[in-house]
Amino acid sequence: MIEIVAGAALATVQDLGRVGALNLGVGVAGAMDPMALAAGNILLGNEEGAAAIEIPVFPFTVRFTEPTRFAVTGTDCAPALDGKAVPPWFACRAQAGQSLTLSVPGPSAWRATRAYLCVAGGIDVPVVLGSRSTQMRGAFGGHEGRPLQTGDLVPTHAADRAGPDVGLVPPVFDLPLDVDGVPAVRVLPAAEYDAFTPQAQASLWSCAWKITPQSDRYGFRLAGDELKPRVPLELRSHGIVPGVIQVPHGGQPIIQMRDAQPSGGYPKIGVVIEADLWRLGQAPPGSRIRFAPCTWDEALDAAAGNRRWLDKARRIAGLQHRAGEGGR
Amino acid sequence: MSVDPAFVAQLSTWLAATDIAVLELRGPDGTLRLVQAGSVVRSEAVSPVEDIAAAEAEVVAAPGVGVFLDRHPLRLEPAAAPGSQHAAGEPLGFLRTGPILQAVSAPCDCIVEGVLAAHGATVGFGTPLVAIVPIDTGETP
Repeated sequence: MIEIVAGAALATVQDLGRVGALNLGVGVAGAMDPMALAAGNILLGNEEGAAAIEIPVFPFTVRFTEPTRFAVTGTDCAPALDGKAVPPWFACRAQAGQSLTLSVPGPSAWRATRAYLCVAGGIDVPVVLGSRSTQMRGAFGGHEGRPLQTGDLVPTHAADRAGPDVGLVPPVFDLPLDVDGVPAVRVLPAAEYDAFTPQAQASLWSCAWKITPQSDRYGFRLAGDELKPRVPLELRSHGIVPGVIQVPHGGQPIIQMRDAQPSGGYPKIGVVIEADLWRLGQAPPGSRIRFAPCTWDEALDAAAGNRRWLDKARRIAGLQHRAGEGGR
Repeated sequence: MSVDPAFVAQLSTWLAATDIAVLELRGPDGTLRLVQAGSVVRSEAVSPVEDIAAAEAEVVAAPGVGVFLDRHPLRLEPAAAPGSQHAAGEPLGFLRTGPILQAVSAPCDCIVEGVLAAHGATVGFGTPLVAIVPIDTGETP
C-alpha cells in the first residue's frame, strides 16, 4: 500500500482512460500525459495501461508500507527517497517505511506540470466500466471516486517485484515538436472550421496561444486573438472528445481535456490530434502553445510514431528486464 | 590549476627559505606542486591521474557501454561537479543506450573530485567516469 502523507491536492488515480463509454455520457478521464504513464509502466514491466497516481500539485509525499518498485515519470519533480535523490523516469526500489517526496518542479529541459507515480503491478483500485481512472464528474472509479487525501491508503498489487534499475529518456527529446520555438501540437480542422472568418482561421495557426490559469483536467482556456465566426452560430449540444477546440461567444478558445463533459454546443474550430494530447496535458498554465495544421494521414502517422517509441522502449527495457532476472 | 604567477613566485620564495621539500596545493580545478630542486623551486604539473592517486580517490567506472551523460536529460545542471557531495546510490551521471538510461551511482557517501568523461562521449565498460573521495561516515561496513 501507499500512504498519502502530504500534499494530495488534486492527485488522482489514473490509467489510460475509460474509452468506449461516451455513449453512456461517461467521459474518458485518464492520464493527461499518457506517454509518461505508459513509459513508467514499461520501466516496471507492467501493462502500459496500469493505473498510477497523477500528481499536479507539489510538494507531494507518500510512504510505502511495503517494499515497492516504483518510477516517477512526467515532470521532473526531483524525487527523493528518504531525502536521497533518485532520478526521474527511473525504476527504483523503496523499502517498507520509506517516504518519497516530489518537489515543486524547477528549471528543466522540459517545462511540464504533471508527475506520475507508477508502481510495479499498478495501483489496485476496482475497475469500473473498463478503467481504474477517477471519473470526477460521476464521482466513481479511481480511489473512492475522488482525488486523494492525506491519510489515504492506496492499494498496490504485488509491488515488490524484481527488475533492473534503469530509466527512459523522456519521449519529448525523441519526439520534439515546436513552431518558431514555441511548443506546438498538431490540429485537424473541425466541423465548424469553415464557419469562421478567414482572419480567425489564420489566427488559429499563427497565434502563440497563452494557456490561462483557468486550465485544468476539464479544459484549457486559451488567450490570444479573438476568433469570430462569419455569422453568429447556434448549435445543439453534440458529442465531443478530448482535444476539441471550442470557441465560445467571447472568441477565446477552450480545449476540452480528459475530464471534459462528453457533449457540448460551442462551435468547434479544430481538434488537437490524439497523438499530441500528452504534450498539451503537460503544458504549464502561463506558457504558450502553437497549433500546427495537420492532415488525417499525418495524425495517424503521429499516433504510429508514439507507438513506435513505446514499442522500442518496451523492447529494450524488456531486454534489461530479462538480463536483470535473478537480481533483486 | 590556474594560479596567479605572482602568487606562485611568492610561495616559491617562502618555500626556498624553508627545509620543506614539497608544497602541494589542492583545489577543485587541480593541484599545484612546488618542489625544492637544489637552489631553485620548481613548479610541477600534476596530471589528473597522479592527482587522484595522491588523494586516495576512487574512480567510478562505466557499468556498461553507452553514451555518457553528465546530467539527466531533464536537468540543466550536471549531476556531479567537483566538490559536490552525494549519498551512496545517488546518480553521478548516466549512460544512455538508445532510449534507455543507466545510472552511474555513487558507490558510497562521497565528495566528487572530478568528472573524467566528457558529456556525450561514447564509453565502454569500465571506462573511468567520475573520481570521488569517500566520506568516512564512521560506520563499520
